[in-house]
Amino acid sequence: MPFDTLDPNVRSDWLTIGSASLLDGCTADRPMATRLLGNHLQAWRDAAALPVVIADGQSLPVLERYGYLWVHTGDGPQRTLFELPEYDESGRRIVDCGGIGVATSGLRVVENFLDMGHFPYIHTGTLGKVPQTEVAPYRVHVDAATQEIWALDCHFFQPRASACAADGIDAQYRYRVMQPFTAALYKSSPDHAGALDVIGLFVQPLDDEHVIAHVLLVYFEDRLGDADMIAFQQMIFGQDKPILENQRPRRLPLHGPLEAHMRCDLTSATYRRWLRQRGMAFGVHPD
Amino acid sequence: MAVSPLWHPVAAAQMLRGGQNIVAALLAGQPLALWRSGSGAVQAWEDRCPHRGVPLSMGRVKGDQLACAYHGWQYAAQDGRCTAIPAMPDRPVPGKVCVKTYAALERQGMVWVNPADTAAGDAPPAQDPAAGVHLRSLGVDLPVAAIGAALERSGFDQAAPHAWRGSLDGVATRVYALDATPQWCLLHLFCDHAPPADQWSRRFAEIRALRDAIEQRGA
Repeated sequence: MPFDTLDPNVRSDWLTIGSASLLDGCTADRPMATRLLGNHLQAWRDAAALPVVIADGQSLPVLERYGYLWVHTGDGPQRTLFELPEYDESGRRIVDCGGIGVATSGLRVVENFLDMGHFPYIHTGTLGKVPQTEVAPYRVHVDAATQEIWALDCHFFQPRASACAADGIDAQYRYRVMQPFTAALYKSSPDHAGALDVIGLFVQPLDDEHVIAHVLLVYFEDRLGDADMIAFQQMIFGQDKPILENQRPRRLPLHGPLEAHMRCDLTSATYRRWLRQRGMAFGVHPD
Repeated sequence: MAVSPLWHPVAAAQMLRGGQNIVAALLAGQPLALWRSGSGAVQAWEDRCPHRGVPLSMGRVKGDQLACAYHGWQYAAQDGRCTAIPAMPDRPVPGKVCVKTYAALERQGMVWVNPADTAAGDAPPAQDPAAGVHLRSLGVDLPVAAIGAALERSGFDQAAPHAWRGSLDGVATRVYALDATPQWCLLHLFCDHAPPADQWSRRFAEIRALRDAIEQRGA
């Protein structure tokens, strides 16, 4: 079965197929099976413990980085995978929250991740609360060297910003979009003044309208156990999932007047323009 | 003037409780959000928030406003104009942000919607008969074009566009047929008086038998 898109934005880039731990115990005879861009993949570790990923009987280039597997499905040159230096910084805990299946375009999932305005309505009592609904002005730019999107000076009142937060805080945020299907959020660490915790969102596009959204925490956190941190993230994601799966169209409208943008949607508007400028077609509504 | 077939019977009016709930409906495959403002007027809107495409039927009614579930954007009854964007509480709302609305009214116990952009020169369904009692609504696996012939074979006569009269269990019964999608219909059944308590189950069995007859003969 071939991959179901020629869009170089996905075929020339590294795409995740999930946590490297998924290969534990997998062999050529009993591989891990998953999907990517409409195709079926098998993966395992060879005798030298290196990951092997097969599609259509051929092996794909694969990287193991940030605890995740990244594969390259195209014939063209390989881009460099994004930098996440915090992953290797001492004092941080790495907690993989696993993947959650979502029946929509991965571009919708990333856009929701970049949005603060829904906090009081969808994450009521944790990431936001009515009547503190204002999204204060913030800055967005595309970094000239990396072509990554950065949203800076974001802040939002949060009654319970993380699993260990006891009181509400005005949480400081930075958002970063590394690839069309990967993004990161940097937010003030509750117990470490001045430090920023990182949440990575790595979206695995199964096809145009189905994804697995993987979440990786790179935190300064010494009070909570892994289970509490994972449970908090899964609760948050579980609140977003019914919204995401009911949005219509499922594919992101990039071209027409179907959806309105306000100043509070600056990150979303920049993300859509950035996708338009690179000719994104996969997961995009043909309006 | 003849009743225009442009008015479609989308839902039993009693399903909409003033200022309280939103009913998701389908008309020719198009999702609608039906609700009743605090003042009682029936609203039929495209079921899509113009901000991020979330169905408005997932939202909440607040008096004469409907609030979207995702970002709390509020829209006014009647014209569907956006009246509040909570993420920008101190800024005026741009006038161009608007939900698509359809003409809707309440007749014979049903909510009727005209999906055409203009209702000019278009006669709405009659006030009579009175609402009566809504027995039940049920899906039928048959396109609307085949429903009339199927109902007539079961002894029903067409009374008006989308409306038939006949008898079930010996009791005069009205049937309204909605083209929910191009493939299947929704039938709404009414009678004049509520059946005695011990006869509801027999009436429901008759309704199921009517559906079976319609689907079998249409197949």
